[in-house]
Amino acid sequence: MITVSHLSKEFVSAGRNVRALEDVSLTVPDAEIHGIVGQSGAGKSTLVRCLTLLETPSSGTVTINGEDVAALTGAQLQQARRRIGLVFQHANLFDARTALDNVAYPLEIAGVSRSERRAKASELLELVGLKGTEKAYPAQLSGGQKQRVGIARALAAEPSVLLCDEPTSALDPASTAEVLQLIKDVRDRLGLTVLVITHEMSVVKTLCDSVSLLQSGSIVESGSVEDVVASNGQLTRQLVPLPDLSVTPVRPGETALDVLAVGDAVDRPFVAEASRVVGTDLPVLAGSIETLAGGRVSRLRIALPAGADVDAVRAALVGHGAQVSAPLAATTDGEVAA
Amino acid sequence: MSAAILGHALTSPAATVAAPAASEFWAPLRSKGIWKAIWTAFGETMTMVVVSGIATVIVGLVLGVLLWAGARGGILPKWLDTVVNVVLSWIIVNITRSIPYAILMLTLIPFTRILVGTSIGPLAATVALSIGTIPFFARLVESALREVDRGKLDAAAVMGSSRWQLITKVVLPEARPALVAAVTTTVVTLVGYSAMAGLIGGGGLGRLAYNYGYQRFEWSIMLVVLVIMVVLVQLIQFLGDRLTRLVDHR
Repeated sequence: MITVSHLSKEFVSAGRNVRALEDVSLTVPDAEIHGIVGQSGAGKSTLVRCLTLLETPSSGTVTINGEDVAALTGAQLQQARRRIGLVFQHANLFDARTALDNVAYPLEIAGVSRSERRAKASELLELVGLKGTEKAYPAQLSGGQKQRVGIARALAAEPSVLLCDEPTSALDPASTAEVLQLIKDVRDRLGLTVLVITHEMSVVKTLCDSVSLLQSGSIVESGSVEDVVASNGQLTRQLVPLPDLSVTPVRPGETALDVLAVGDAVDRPFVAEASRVVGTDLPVLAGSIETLAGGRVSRLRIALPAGADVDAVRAALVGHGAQVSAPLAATTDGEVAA
Repeated sequence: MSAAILGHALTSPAATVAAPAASEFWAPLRSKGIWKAIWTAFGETMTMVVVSGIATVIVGLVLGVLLWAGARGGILPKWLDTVVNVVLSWIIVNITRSIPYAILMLTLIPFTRILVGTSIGPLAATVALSIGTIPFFARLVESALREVDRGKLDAAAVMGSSRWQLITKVVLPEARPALVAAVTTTVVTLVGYSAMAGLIGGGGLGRLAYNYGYQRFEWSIMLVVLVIMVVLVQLIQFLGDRLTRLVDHR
């Protein structure tokens, strides 16, 4: 279990104080995969560096399996680091070592005997599906293979926590899918607690049980993926985006509504219901239906003609279990003002 | 007058003039003694290069690692950072490197006498040679280590490496190709410096070329020394390049 509480980090940069993290609190239960998303500059990297103890937090605590690790120094710090596995964006393998020796490195520095660590390392390479590449140097491996060696290396010291810092951002779509599947398998098999830092919503969709949105150094939304989607906040719009190409502009005088439904509510006839209230058949401007965290989610944007009773429509749709946005009015160029 | 006689009359004096000139030019090489002297000088040069090369690599590597660690910060204890930055970086490396090598050599004569007991001979010359090239090599080592990707250092730190493990198991092996190239460059520089050291009592090929070629105008000996030097440097460079490629797994 990872618990972060009231974590803050300040830097002095060019004579000014920069608050990279502000009062970040977070709990990831055992064997859960938690995603942290945010734009670049939101503080993701600083958070990772604090969690991996590469930076000392200005205040707050990081507790891993009940031990406060943020305050450790020296040999205790080295020991604590060995209980955290870290997967990097660019695998950061050692070029001078073969795949096997890369995976064996954490064991080597922990003083495990040569035969023992080689046996363990080849076992791990097999686990990540790279049997037969023991003698290959990183330069001879593809990006996806390197990342899998990186995961095997992160697992070598049998950590209880796996931190993944943008694990798929440098990979092509096929390798991305492989690596995400591998992280999931590893969690299932070894019962690891996993924290994934990413800017890719697709990673959250396919991998995470719960998610937090980091914005300007603070966590603004957090919870299980289902709850976060149902909350109809910023993460919902990013996780269930309306496809750009399908959006029809709102004509002047019209009012647009975003209708979000989660779970069984997706099956309700929202457009027909709204049409009945207004008295004419309504067009759908854009729509998206997805499966997220095992449940379905739909997001539809419908246009109401001028003079329609917007409040009555909203009330009717909410009565059917949907969440309806505030009316979106058309701007002069046909875009929707949120 | 037949053409044959005319031809003979014209060519024969020319031949008798040119032949002694050529034989005079190469004459010094015909004595057995000179080849023995060249061989001895070659041995002295090799002694200077090998002994000072080993000393430079050992001491320079340590200083280079300290320079790198001091500049990066956070690897050495804080007090050592200060020592490295002030004493090593400034006084030793920067100042020593600004002194022209010929002058440094002369300045070091009393020191050499204390250390070796004499300031004459190839072994005495290695003192000045090593002190001259150690700062140069240390800077090369530092820049080689700087090329190691920061991400790898982070990875090593996150996995719980100690300082010693970080340096010996990650940074030095990762920089190995650049380090081998730095050794090659340094040894080539040493060959050049050793010729200069020869002039102030070190002996070796530089001394030979100066004594015979410059002072006695026996240019052929100068030429032979030149060829030996060029071949030696090319050989070192070739072997160094091969070795660099051998240890480079990138």
